[in-house]
Amino acid sequence: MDLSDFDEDEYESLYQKNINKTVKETVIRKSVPVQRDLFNNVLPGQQAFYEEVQRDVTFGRTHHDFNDDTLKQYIYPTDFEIRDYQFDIVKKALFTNLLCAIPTGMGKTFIASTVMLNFFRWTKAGKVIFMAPTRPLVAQQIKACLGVSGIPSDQTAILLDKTRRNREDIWREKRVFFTTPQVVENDLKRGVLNPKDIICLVVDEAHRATGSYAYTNVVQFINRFNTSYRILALTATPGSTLENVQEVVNNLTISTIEIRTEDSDDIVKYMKNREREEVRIDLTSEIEDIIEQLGIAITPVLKQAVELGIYEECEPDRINAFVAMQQSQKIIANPNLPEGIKWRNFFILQLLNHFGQMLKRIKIYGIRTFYNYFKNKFNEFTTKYNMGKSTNKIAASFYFHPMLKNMMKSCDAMVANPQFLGHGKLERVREELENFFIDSDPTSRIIIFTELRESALEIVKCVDAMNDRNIRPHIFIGQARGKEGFDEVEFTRKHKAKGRKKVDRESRKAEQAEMDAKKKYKQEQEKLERSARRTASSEEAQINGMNQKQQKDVIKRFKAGEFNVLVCTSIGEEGLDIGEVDCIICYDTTSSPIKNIQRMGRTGRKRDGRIILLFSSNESYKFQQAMEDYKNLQLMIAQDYVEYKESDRIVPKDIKPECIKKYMSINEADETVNDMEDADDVILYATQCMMGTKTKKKSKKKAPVKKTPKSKQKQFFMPDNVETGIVPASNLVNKYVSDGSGELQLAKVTEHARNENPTMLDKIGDSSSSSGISDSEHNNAKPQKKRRKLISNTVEHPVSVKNETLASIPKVKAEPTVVIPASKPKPPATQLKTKPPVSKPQKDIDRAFLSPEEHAYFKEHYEPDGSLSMDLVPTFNIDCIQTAKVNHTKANASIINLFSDLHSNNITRTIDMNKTNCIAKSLQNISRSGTTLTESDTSMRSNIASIPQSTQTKNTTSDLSNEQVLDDLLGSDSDF
Amino acid sequence: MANEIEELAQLKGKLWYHLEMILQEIESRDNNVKITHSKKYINALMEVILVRLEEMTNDLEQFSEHDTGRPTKQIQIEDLKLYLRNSSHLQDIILPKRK
Repeated sequence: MDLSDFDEDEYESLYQKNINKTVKETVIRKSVPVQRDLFNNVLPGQQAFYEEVQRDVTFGRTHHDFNDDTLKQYIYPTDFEIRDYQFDIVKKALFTNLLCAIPTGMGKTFIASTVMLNFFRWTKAGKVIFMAPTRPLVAQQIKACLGVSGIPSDQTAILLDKTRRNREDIWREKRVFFTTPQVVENDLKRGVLNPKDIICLVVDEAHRATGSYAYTNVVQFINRFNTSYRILALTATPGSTLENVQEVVNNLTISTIEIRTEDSDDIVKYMKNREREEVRIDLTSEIEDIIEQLGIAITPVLKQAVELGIYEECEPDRINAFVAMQQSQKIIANPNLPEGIKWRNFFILQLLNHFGQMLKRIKIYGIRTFYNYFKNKFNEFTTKYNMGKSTNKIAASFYFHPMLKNMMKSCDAMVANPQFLGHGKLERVREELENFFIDSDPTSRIIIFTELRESALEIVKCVDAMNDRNIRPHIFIGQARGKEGFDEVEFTRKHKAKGRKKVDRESRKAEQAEMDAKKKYKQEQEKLERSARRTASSEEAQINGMNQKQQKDVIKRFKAGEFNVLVCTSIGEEGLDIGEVDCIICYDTTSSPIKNIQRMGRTGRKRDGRIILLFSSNESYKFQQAMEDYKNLQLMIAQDYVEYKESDRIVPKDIKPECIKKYMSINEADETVNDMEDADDVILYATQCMMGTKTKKKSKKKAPVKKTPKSKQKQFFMPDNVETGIVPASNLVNKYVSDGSGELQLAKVTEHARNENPTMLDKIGDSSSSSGISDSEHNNAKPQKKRRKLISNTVEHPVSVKNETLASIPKVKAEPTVVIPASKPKPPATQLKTKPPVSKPQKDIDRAFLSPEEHAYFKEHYEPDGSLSMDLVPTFNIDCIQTAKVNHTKANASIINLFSDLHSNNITRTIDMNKTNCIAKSLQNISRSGTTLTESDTSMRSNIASIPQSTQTKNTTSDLSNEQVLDDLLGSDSDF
Repeated sequence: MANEIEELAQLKGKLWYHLEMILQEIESRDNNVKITHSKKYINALMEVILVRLEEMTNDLEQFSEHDTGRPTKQIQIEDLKLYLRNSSHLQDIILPKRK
């Protein structure tokens, strides 16, 4: 008979009241006809019912403090022209969690800053956080946001990795933050940022919120503590498939998607003209020759693969690297294959994969790129094979094919000629550039996109070889180092037969040193040679990668006009503030619509732009397919194929803020931000503003650093349902106890658990506090205070009190406060609470309200759960609630109130209910455990009078918001 | 203030407990149809009863003060009788049996 324990739900409702979200699940089961056999028995393996789960999510009152006078309206800045779609989206974004997917350059930032401004105005202390995935993006957004909205810059902070020292203070003092999600995630975990403070979260480039990216983690973390905050997610491309979009929606708890395409009615009139030209380029005869020769060489291998059933039959020039790789992975993962066959098949597919790569390179990027790759693979294999390190006959049949010798000879000749262009695309690029720069102003810029670094360098070289003074190209790539090709000499040396004698070793060492020196010298030479050429830095970059500093430098010079053609890999597609360009050339296409759109989004922002897409091979089809898919996806989103999450309106239901269009006078400081170009300048400037050092720039007087005493208690936000405190290992194992008959029995672990984790009721009994709710936090603070008092006593009367101190207080150090969203009371706190054990039984008896008869009856008849439940809550419709002139009587009014509260799941009411339930059960519990019951409940009056003296209850019936509790905790400094 | 709230909470708990007992009696009376009452229901019922009780005590207090001829201002059985004036049956029940 375990009546005293609450079930999980009850605990949740008691403790999770700090989250204002309640989820009610209704499962509807309908029986469906089942198949029966002739004897009318139901055939097995059938489900006899159809189940439908309805999830009803309601939100209670928010815990944020509003500025009541500003809440009646929201501001819409009119510094720029009012665009209808922006206006609509802002209006929705204020009241629901919204994913805003509008094309690049259409003012997402404006929407974000308007929403942020209003939440900033509405709340008194709520924190508004803007997250963008990269540093440059953060800078860009600060610039845009401060430039647009009237958020005062002294309330704004920028948090990036560098400002680590005083983050605590910054989080505490400021209210608007521009930062990266990683920073937020870390600070939430470190306990520096209180998730309850957050009122508005803006997520830029929201399509990244998949998997376990920091965005997802941040949102999940906050949701555990706080469901009353607004999320605004911004992106140009919500995802490439519906599943992706759904994942983003789930991860960010989005309840509406506002999607606009470039063709949307309300967008199109604001769009700058973007001229898009698709150019199909046929393969040159040289390329076709090479492909044919390669095809002949691979045919035997392909045939074998087809016979083995590991690759589908096709023309040799249609071999696909991706398909081959997938197949090989499948084979590796298959445990049923014998090892021999497995690896043979694997090597065949590996070869096909390499072949596919070669085809892709030659078809899309050109002969040089292809030949580099081929040469590398060829060298690697032949060296290994000749040394006997590889016995791969299949690959040998390909690489040693007589056809290839021929091909290599011609290739060598072609590549040796510096004027030779490896692909028709390169010629086209030259033409386009020439035409473009003939009649355009000097500020024009062009970006060329390609996927491969090698190809990027080839383009740079090719463009440079035009020797046109007006065309100055540079490469722009990420910071990873370039892959080093296969080093034939090195490999040979390493793997040749080694002598065992000392002499051999010595000579090897010497050889090694010599080799290194040679290599170094060669590298130096190459470097010098490179630097003599115009494309020096590009080549350098292709080998070493570009670190952030170099990237920034290139961008700066690109903006300054030192370069006017930038050849980018995918790094240039999003994130970096490259600024405005007039022309985009896509040297290749990707099958990802997101990438394509991001690429094209680089132009046509503030003035008309031109896009040239270069297609060869099947790229045209790939591109069309990708864009088609994306269109369908957008259509599907628009037609509500996505399942949305409920979100809190936050603003009370009865308040409908009205729009006020207002010209926001942007103050001077923000104006200066507007003029800044460089990302780092902006960050620097913003940091200065934030630290308040901006004003006294000249007088470099350092304000004396106030050493804030580190009294602030550290706070951890723990995962759900964790047990905190120290649990001895002996409690974690099952114990056997021998009972009378000599058999071993499992000791009752539950007994242990009960003692350590007293239930709600135990606590009520112990502390004689009926508050029950929220006192887990409350308790934590209290014992510590008590302890301090005791210690101070100790100082005064060391002898007399010391014993008592030791006895009554287990050695508990000032433990960090732990806030657990929904869990049981914490052991350390309650251990402290059970202090006066002597007087307790007496009190229990006193407080027993039940007569023995009552108690016995209850024991017999109480049944916690039933099969059918009655749950009727009458609704009083508005007509009968509203009275004309005469108010309801007090009694009627309170009854109406009661039921409307029950209907809306009022949090206070629920808390109250649980509390009363607690008390009722505790009464029953006490009388059950009490051994001698002397009095019946006639002395109720006096009992009640006696209780309050021993209570330290907080007033929980009034709406004690969790914030208060937190404040209490934070306020209690723990400097002992 | 705190004491009052404490008392009220205890009173509610007590009320809840007794209600639960009564309801269980009702539940057990009819064995064919198994009826239980949800926590919410009991709570609502309890609240309503509390409201009624408040009203009643208020009335009784008023009644006791109204009778000016009385020596003490205590609530007496007469007041209750007055309160139950609309139901003669109940009046009969509360009146001490005259023999």
